[in-house]
Amino acid sequence: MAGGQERVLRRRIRSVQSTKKITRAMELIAASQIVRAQARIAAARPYREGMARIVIETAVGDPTAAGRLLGTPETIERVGVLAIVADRGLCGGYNTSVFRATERLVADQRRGGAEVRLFTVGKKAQGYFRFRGQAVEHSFTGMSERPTFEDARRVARVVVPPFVEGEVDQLVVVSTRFRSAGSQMVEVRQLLPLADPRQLVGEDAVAVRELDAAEAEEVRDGYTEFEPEAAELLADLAPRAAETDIFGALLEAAASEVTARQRAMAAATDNADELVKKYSRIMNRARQDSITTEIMEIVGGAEALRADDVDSDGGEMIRTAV
Amino acid sequence: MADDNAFRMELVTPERVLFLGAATQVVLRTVDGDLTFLNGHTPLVGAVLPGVVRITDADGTETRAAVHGGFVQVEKVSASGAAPNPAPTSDPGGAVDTPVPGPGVGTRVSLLAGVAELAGDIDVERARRAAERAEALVAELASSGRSASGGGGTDEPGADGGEGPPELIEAEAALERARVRLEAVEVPTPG
Repeated sequence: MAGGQERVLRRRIRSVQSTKKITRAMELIAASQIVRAQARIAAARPYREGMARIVIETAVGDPTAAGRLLGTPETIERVGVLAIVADRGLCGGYNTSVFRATERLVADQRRGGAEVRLFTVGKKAQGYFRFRGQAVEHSFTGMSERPTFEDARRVARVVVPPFVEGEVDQLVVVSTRFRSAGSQMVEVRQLLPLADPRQLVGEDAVAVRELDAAEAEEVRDGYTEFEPEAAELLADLAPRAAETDIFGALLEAAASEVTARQRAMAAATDNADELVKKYSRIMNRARQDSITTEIMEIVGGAEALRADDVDSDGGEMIRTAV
Repeated sequence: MADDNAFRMELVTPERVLFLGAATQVVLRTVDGDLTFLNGHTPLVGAVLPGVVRITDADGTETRAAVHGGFVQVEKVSASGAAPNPAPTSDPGGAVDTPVPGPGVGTRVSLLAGVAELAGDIDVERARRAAERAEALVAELASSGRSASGGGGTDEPGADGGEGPPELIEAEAALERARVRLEAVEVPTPG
């Protein structure tokens, strides 16, 4: 009985230890990917900032050119939603938080009477929304961990045309922003229309970092040529800017994903350590118990035998005495 | 001094910065034809067509790049932000013959391209093969598209005129890209 329990525990410890090896390996892989993902965010920054500058310049240069391409739409009857999650699980609450934010957004929009068209990136989204009976118009997979600009273009080619053709009034993206290695948060951002730079300046946005006061002054003061003219240029620019934003969102999501995975796997590795410790303790106690019991049995048996001997001796003695 | 007519030039793609530094002249293609930028150019924002961009830097060497469409912005920036190289600025004589318009202002040209390659990074053999492949594909799709639209494409009567099926557009874009690449490395394009 006691030996059986010991064997069960030994098996379980071995299983936990091999699981721990896997989680440890995944943790290390994720940790190395974080560095690479951050480097890719940094590499994309000049382009994103340049694109933001050009949009600002064009929008400020000819305020009448914007039309429905800039600002916040007054009435939203149809909205496109792009949710970005991971292809794989094992990354803690990363996917779940995006799902929750997406569902909340979709429910809010529906309550407001808007028609929602849902697009997703990441394999995990397919299963989730199918299970919920939520129709997904198009889902992209195979790009969540290492998105290339070409991937962003593929997404943009599907999600941007409905806006350009006026089929949706607004296009939003739900994804995880990578603020720093220690802070990532799910955010709902408007992709199209483009953010109006006059509202943007001073607030948190990719564009603002390099637009210090002097430079902003420069932008407003300078006379700028447009080629083609601003309205036409902005129409060309909007899809490009949207695809740049999608690329940025994909990169930040990828960095957040591997960070979440690294953290989840580190926690799993720690848990495995805990479990091994706990099980070994139980196992050792079980082993000692069984040894103690055995000793007790032996001693008891020996005692009993000795008592028998004493008894028989005594009996003899008694007998002799008699 | 060659530096006097140098300005800050950036050629940036989403995945990396291809060129960053001082240039004296940049030539690129826009909707209205080829444009040349020199130091002190008027601020401008423009759409760039697929083509070869030629950047001449301070010592006269030319960098060529294949740019597959993008946008260019010319702006005046503060000299500190625009300093093309860490040359000694405290030189008292330098301030006198500085031709930049006004103190502390320089020109910055940023060219943003979704896809672009420096000529030196282009694999000529591969580009040539890609061009041939794309050409064959375009020819094949164009002919099959014509027969298909003649057969059953009745629900989209106007679509087959200029647009064509997405595969054809894609193949034509690939052909265009391959041609621009070959042009950047100065190899006569096939066809």
